[in-house]
Amino acid sequence: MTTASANKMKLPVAPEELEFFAEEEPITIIPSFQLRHNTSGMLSCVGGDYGPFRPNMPVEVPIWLALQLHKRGKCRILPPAWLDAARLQALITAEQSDVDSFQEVPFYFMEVCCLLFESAKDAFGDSFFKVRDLLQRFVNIRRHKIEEGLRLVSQASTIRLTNLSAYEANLIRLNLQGSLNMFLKFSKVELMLESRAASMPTMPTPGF
Amino acid sequence: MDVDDAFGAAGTSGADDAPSTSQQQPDQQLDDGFDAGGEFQDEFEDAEPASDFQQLKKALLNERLAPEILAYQGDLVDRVRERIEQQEREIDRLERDPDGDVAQEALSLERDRLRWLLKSYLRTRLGKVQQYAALVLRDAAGVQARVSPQELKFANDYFMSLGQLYQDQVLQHLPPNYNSLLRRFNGDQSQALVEEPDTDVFVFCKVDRDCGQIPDGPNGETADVNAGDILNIRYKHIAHLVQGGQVHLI
Repeated sequence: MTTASANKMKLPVAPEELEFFAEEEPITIIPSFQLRHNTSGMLSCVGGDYGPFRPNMPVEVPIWLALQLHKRGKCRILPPAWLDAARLQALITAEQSDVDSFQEVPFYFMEVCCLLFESAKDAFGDSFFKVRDLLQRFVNIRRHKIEEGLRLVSQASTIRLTNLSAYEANLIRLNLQGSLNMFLKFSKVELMLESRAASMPTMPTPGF
Repeated sequence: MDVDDAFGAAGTSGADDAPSTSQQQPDQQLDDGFDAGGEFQDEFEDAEPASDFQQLKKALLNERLAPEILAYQGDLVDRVRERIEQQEREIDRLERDPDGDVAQEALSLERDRLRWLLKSYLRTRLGKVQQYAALVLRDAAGVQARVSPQELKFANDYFMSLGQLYQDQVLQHLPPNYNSLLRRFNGDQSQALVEEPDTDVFVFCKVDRDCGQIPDGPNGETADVNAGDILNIRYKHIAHLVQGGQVHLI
């Protein structure tokens, strides 16, 4: 308990903050209402103009807005195209066959999924449990791959992690960067000792 | 951090950069090159130019994850503040509108989100200014040029109060050789008790624009830095790219 909360304290970016950032990602909704406060039916936010909102006309909005409207029963959320049983199955196959790299996923895919699973289950209809299980499998495969990769890290050098997601970066941040920084410190000490050993013989021995 | 800011820094907020012209030479060059390449920016952004929210998000993450204090995004902060006020007036107007409840709720939520993000950014910076207060005050040419006047005042007040506290509680009881914080503070580089950030640490970064090869390591190693890459790399090797907006930390 105490160690878990202590570790959480040390994370420079909290998981909740990642979720907050993910809420800015676009998603498609089907509104069941009409905006009447102006003639265009558009909503002008700082992030952009969204709309027009008309019943049964799909429109793209940020997730925070979609979830708020959904909570009020004013819209139906369409899950993102990649969050679909067939696509996930294909992603899993690709992820399994390609051992050296990660498949491309939205940067905040984990956070987006969590938000939708939690607050908009009905968006998935009957396939909710199937999608959730497939996602779980996908995440596990990637996690296994990351752990295997971490085992290979043996010196302080740059590591390429293309297509790593925000959640996964946060997952390994302390572990990976902690060990790399430590490797770096060791190599600096080693270098210092070596240079000192190299300069030793040339120095006149005191007393003779 | 982004094209708008690079332009802005050259234009409106000259006051912030003015005192440091001699020291900012490399940054200046970066900015210039950056402006010239600005028209290609959209190619690498996700279809549309980054919104203020996205820019501020990047600024916050950079600030949170970089070991050193980064340049204050004054223009961006002012712009976001202005937008929040503007939305505030719009929300007031919608409150009186019988058909405005949905819109009003949405705008209120977005205003709260922006306000939280802005607070987070400023608070993250204040935390760092507090940690490196002595350095901010001492390194007039480098770090000081990157903080806002308010942050500089905060650093000054904080350092003074802390010094007073140390003086009253501990230092006055010590032998004369050890009883001054300022002697240490004003001493030469090797002697000064001034905490400096360790820029030789690893960070995750995401590349927004191709940067070709950059030096990476003492033995002439290089790293390819291409748009879309995610790298785990030592901060000091990409610090200039973070300042220039070609990469951001994640």
